[in-house]
Amino acid sequence: MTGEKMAGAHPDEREKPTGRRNAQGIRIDPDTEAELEKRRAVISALVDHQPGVLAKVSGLFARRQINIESLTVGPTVDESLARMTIVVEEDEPGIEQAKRQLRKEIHAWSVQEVEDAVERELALIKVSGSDPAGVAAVAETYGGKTIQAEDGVLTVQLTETEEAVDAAIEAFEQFGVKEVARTGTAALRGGTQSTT
Amino acid sequence: MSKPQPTADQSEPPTDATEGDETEDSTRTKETTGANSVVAALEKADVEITFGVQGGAIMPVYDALSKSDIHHVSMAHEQGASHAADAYGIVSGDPGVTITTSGPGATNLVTGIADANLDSDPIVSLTGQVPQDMVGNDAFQETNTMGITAPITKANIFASDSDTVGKDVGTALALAAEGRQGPTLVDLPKNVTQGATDVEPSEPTSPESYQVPNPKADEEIVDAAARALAEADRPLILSGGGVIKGEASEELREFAVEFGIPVVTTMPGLGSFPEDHPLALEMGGMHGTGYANLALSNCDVLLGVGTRFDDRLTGGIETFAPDAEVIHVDIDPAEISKNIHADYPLIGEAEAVVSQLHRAMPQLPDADAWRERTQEWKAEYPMGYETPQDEPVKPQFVVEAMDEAAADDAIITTGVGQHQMWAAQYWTYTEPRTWVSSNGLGTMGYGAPAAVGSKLAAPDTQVIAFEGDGSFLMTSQAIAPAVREELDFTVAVLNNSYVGMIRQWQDAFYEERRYESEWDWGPDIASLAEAYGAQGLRAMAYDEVPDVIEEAFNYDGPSVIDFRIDPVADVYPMVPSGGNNAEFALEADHL
Repeated sequence: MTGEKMAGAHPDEREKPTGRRNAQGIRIDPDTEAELEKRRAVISALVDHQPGVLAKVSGLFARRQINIESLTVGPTVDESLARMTIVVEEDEPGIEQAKRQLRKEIHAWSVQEVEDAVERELALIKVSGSDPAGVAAVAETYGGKTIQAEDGVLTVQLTETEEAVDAAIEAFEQFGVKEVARTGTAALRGGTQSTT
Repeated sequence: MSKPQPTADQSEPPTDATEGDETEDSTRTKETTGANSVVAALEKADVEITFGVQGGAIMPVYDALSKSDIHHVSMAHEQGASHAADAYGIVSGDPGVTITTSGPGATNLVTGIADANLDSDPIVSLTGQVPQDMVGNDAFQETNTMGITAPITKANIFASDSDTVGKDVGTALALAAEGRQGPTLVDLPKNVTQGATDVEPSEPTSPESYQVPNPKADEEIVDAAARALAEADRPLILSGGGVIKGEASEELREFAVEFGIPVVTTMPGLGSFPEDHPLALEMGGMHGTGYANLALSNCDVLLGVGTRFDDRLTGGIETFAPDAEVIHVDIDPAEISKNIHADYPLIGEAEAVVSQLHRAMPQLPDADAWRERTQEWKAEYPMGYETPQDEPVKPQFVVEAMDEAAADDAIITTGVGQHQMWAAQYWTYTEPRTWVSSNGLGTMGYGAPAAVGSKLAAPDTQVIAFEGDGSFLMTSQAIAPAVREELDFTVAVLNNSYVGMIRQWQDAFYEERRYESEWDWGPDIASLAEAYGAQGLRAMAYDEVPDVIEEAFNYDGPSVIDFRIDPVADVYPMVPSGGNNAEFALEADHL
């Protein structure tokens, strides 16, 4: 109001509540506040199988600073749809945001975190060929096999969980790992449960 | 499909696919074109006005538009077109539509689309594109409009077929308006709009994959939230832009009044609750009132409706309403607990959910002492300013003088900066859809083109744009189409010869180094207005203020008033970025 000077107590002299929220906006007791732990989440989305959708989904994760561990995409039983399997490592609120933001994408028909998952990824591993029998033996341990042997290079194919593929690559290090190509995790809920 | 076009050159004559188009699939038998379908889709959705700028790749659509009753407003620049459409969407509630060409015609829209995206304003951008066989070849005026606009649109669609282009436009119109509103875009390759089709566009509908939440929220959570509110000692409502977009202002007012709960509004929520009501604490946040911020800080149950708890409102998250249980009503599930954890998440339409809460309230909260406290704060922390007559005019005085002289239901548009904050603080908003501003993106220059869009959406309502001298210069060319369209509105430029908000921050946080915010010389605003064909006015002193306002309001056409205000007036109260709302500063020494 004109003529009335802006007035009031100095900021330090005002009544102020002592409560606090954490970075996620949750009310906390600062003395007992624990850091939120990150966890690995496998998110499955059924999306329109058309150009541009992958770019939109990866763009939306990038914009929200949600780190994608792996992302696979491929056709499903319904020709018009593709399934995206996205592995993220985030705290609980971050995982929730990822799912909700993804659900807002117009091309996404459904979004679900895959619990009790059957998970596999395919890896092609090129190993030095000095010990074909040794390589074959390690490959067999992980359910893989040598699919090509040429000019001293053995190409091993194996399909396993992410952790097992990590372990296999480590085991192959003794022969010399030259190149690795991994597809990232594909996942479905186990048994009779469907992943929608 | 029509035959591939040799170039995307602007000089290329339009092809009429219904005759003389020798395509292999014999399109002669088809009766219409993709461009006609685009226009038919607009007509089917009852679009009456479009904003845009002509250009090569969009010429087929303009040619089709020439045969329609839809009124097209040619703006001077595409950014202005998008802001005009945005304002049209805010005022009318229906999507504002722009039609522009490819390349720069699309990129010039980007600011306006991003603006609409942050404010959830319904706009539909129809952009021309080079013919499909040239897409990706870096053709003349080609740009990846889909890629550029994907992160700032609710949905964008590449029209790939003349038979479905009308449906695509309908989808974009439906998606912009439904659920949480927002910007959509359809990219229109020239061969698709020129191509022949005989498919009539259907009613605008959203795709099946798009889920609008159930209007009503979960009854159990509603009951629990109502109990929490009824048992609160210090209940508070935070009314956001979603209350206005969801047409819930009346429902919310009845609720607040019946249960005696004070109301703070967010900036986009201005007008959602009448500021002349005793329960109104007005705007909260960075430049909100002291009493609004003290209420936010001290409440014990906070009912947030249609707000995304933006950082300019919350200040630092750790000190935001730290003792409050939060009831969050929103139509977008992704807003729940995004910034502030919701103890009672209520997903649904604002009007329906507030009405649910109303019915579920078991009793009136026992909040007499709290209401009294909020009234005391109003007296302790008044919004005010002094007006020494020997000093330059105070900007707050100009805002109040215009409010005094203007119609009660006048629509206010603003640019961005200090003038925007004074317009938010010192105008008394009593009706929804009267605050038309760039709240989220903070786009300088929004005010003048927004006045064009507002006036066209509400021809019988008074429209006033507040602008700053820096902000106005960014889009002042929007006055030219306003003159051409014979629009009657007033632009009040609060001219301090500074980029004032930056100057204020430099004074406060950068040891008064006024680098690149101080202008020794700027164009004469009144003469500039006259050059555009508008009435140009100027006020240098207090006694001139009422006269120029009267002159502007009496003039039938756009007027621009150059108010030479106190160059170093500051905006207070102020919560520094990320600060504690309860510690708002009343002067620089408090920062």
